[in-house]
Amino acid sequence: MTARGVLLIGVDETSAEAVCAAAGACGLGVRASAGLGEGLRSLGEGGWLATFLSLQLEGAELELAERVAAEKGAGALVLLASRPTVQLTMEAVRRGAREVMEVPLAAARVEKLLAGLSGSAEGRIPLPEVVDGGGDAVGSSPQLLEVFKVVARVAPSAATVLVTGESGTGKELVARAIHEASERARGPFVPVNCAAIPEDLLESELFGHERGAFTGAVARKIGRFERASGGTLFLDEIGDMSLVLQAKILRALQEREIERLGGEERIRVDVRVVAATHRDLAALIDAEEFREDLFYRLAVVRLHLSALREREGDMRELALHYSAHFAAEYARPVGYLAESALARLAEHDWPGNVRELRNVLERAVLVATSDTLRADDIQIDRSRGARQTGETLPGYSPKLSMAELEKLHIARVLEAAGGHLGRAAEILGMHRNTVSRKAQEYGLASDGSR
Amino acid sequence: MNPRPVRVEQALDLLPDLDDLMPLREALLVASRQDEARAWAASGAYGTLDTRLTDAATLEEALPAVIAKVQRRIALVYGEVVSAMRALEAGDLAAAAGALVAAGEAEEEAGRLAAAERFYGKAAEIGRRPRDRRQEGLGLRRLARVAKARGELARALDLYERGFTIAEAQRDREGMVVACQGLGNVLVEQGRWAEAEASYQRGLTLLAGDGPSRLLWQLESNLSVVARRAGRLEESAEWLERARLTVERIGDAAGRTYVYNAEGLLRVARGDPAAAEPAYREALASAGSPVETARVLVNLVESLLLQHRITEAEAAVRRLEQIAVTHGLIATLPYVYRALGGVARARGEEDGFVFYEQALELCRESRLPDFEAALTQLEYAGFEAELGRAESALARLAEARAVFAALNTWPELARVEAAIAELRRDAGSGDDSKEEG
Repeated sequence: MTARGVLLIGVDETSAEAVCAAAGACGLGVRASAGLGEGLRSLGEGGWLATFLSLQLEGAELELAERVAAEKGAGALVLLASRPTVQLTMEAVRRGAREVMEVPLAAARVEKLLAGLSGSAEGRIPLPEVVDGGGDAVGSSPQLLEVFKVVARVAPSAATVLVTGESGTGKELVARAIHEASERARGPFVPVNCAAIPEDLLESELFGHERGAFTGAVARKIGRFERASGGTLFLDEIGDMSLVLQAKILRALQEREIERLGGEERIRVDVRVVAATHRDLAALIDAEEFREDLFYRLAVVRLHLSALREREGDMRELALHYSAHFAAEYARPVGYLAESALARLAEHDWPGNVRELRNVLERAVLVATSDTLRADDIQIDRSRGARQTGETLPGYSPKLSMAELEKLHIARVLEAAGGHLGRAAEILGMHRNTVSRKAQEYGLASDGSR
Repeated sequence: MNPRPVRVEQALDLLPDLDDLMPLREALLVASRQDEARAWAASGAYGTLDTRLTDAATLEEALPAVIAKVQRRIALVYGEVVSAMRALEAGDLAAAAGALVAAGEAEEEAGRLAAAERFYGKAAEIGRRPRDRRQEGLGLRRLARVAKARGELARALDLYERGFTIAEAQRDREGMVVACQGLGNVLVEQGRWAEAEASYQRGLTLLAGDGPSRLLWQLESNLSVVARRAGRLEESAEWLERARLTVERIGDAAGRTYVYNAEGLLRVARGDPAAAEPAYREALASAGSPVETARVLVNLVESLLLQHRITEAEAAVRRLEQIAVTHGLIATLPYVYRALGGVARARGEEDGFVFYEQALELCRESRLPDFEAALTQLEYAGFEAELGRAESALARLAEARAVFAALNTWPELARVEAAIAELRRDAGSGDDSKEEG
């Protein structure tokens, strides 16, 4: 059914004018009903794109709003209040309202809402069906396909595998794929994140302990090596492990035996190890922070996962996949992804790769107010975990002047953006010309600035 | 070589366990930041206080403010001691005791509970000598407050009772009301609802005829809490409405936050955690201090976890962590890490045990009440039980039970007993496929 336009119930004259202007801009008609009775009769006709109900109208309470929202023909319910509180807004949304707006209405805000509802402003892509057990291995870039070809070849062997790649590229996903395609698939897949667990606890997590082995060892604990027997042990973020533990891991891999802390018995373990890291192990070996012998023991087969920004086309497929996945998981009526949302996603560099994209889309699905994820629903935290070219710097000194701080920050951003002025301007939230001018002023510009 | 930031745990390792270094320790935590290099690593989700980064330059920059704060406290405390001496010279022992109470309050404000306790003890001792013994009563009530903060509930009860007796003998009505309220609060922690209610009611009777006041809404809301905890929800709502009206009459902003927060708790108790959210959001919007914000966020996190809205709960608890770290609300952090443990548990993430370990370490290092550590053991046990580690879980529950029994906090004791019974039942049912060792 084609939407009739916008229905106003009890809306004051000034606000009605704002809605008429906004609706006109979107090519929509408006019908205004002064009283509740007349408004409810119009509502009964159905087919409205949106209904604006004033809470100042006598008899208009949240209970009524809930009833209106439940009417199929009402479209999106917008409540108007003179001073909407957080509590009122939350309660109204809980009862089915799309928006609570303060009167007098701002025409621009109404126009944005109506444009979004009518879909007149942009194209949208339907989300794919969610397939049970489909997994998250989504994409068709040559880089990804190449990785999975190697996975298929090496999985049946007993070789240890080292998976490298930036954080969030899906290294655990690859490790699981190797396990599932191997002869050990019926055995356990035991992941352990070596960087998540404090050094003093990691050893007992890996090898287990006997009761009373140390303070807090209240009971015997079977370590993850032992639990992975017959299956695969996934050592994630192995580059963060101390040299002492590296030596113990090496010994376990060589001898295929472990000893629980506080125990005397040598226990045989039949484990295939897949390790992963986002760090440059060669550089760590040079810095004597990683054992070379362990590296060669782990890296019998090496797999490298490309960063999302290098995987042509995968971002789009992943965006559609995660939108559909989270819409199903949270039972949200989201069925489309707007082109504008995709465009916004495409502008980002994705330092957090697939993990970051997944988080952004999860949040977008949770905050979406229509059946389409739009650019406004996409919130990217650009301050978080920007790719770094060196060590994390200490915080800025409060003794710096604003100009000094600006110079320092622009220099850092330019460095992070590889001297690319456009990308730096995007991060800084400034116009490209402004960044260029300031870089000149501060003596940061180089001939190579793009 | 360029200096590299270090992990908080490494920096803390440098500090000997001295009370005098507590401000420095707190400054170190406040000046810490998340490790941006791990922002998107899988281990980033397991970040705790210990894995945050800090550096000497940032700490050095914070030093003037830390030193000034310490100097202000010392000046205040020493100044009150001089005032006490002047009062002594003038033969006014009540005023001397009053000055000692003020010195204790400065120490308590700085989190130096042992020092505060000594000043309050001295104030109570000096305040016993003059005819006007109201300061003795005040000293005893302050001692009780410190005892409660340390989790010494039996001692706190005894001190409040003694404080009440002195206030009664001195016809100090406000002192009597405050003692009634303090007694009620301790009794609530022990789950002794009827006695707590009687204590609050007694306070209310003492206030009869007075106009609306902060003490009045506090007692009314306390009665709402007791009724809620005892399961009498309609009565709880009535008391809360009375508290709300009193708050509105005196225009108390903190009271407004409290009432919204309590409204959220009541909605949760009615089995509708989703409906609690608007109340919590309203409480957050009106919160006037980080402490108030933190208190509300704790409840918001709980309601989100109850609804299995795990991602949102995690975001809220991370916000709470940031507030607690930035404002030095160390006592809130064990809750933060227990909640993150709960998030990991809901997601079936075995590595989530690191959060409980962090909470336990915080309890030890910051000398938090035994109650906190026991609560952590109770929840850690639940986490381990779900992983099939029954033996370890039972050992933790036994530890928690000993603490709750000593404190006589029966609601938690009942939770421990139920958890033990469930574990034994599961073991007895023969399903020991996941049992260790």
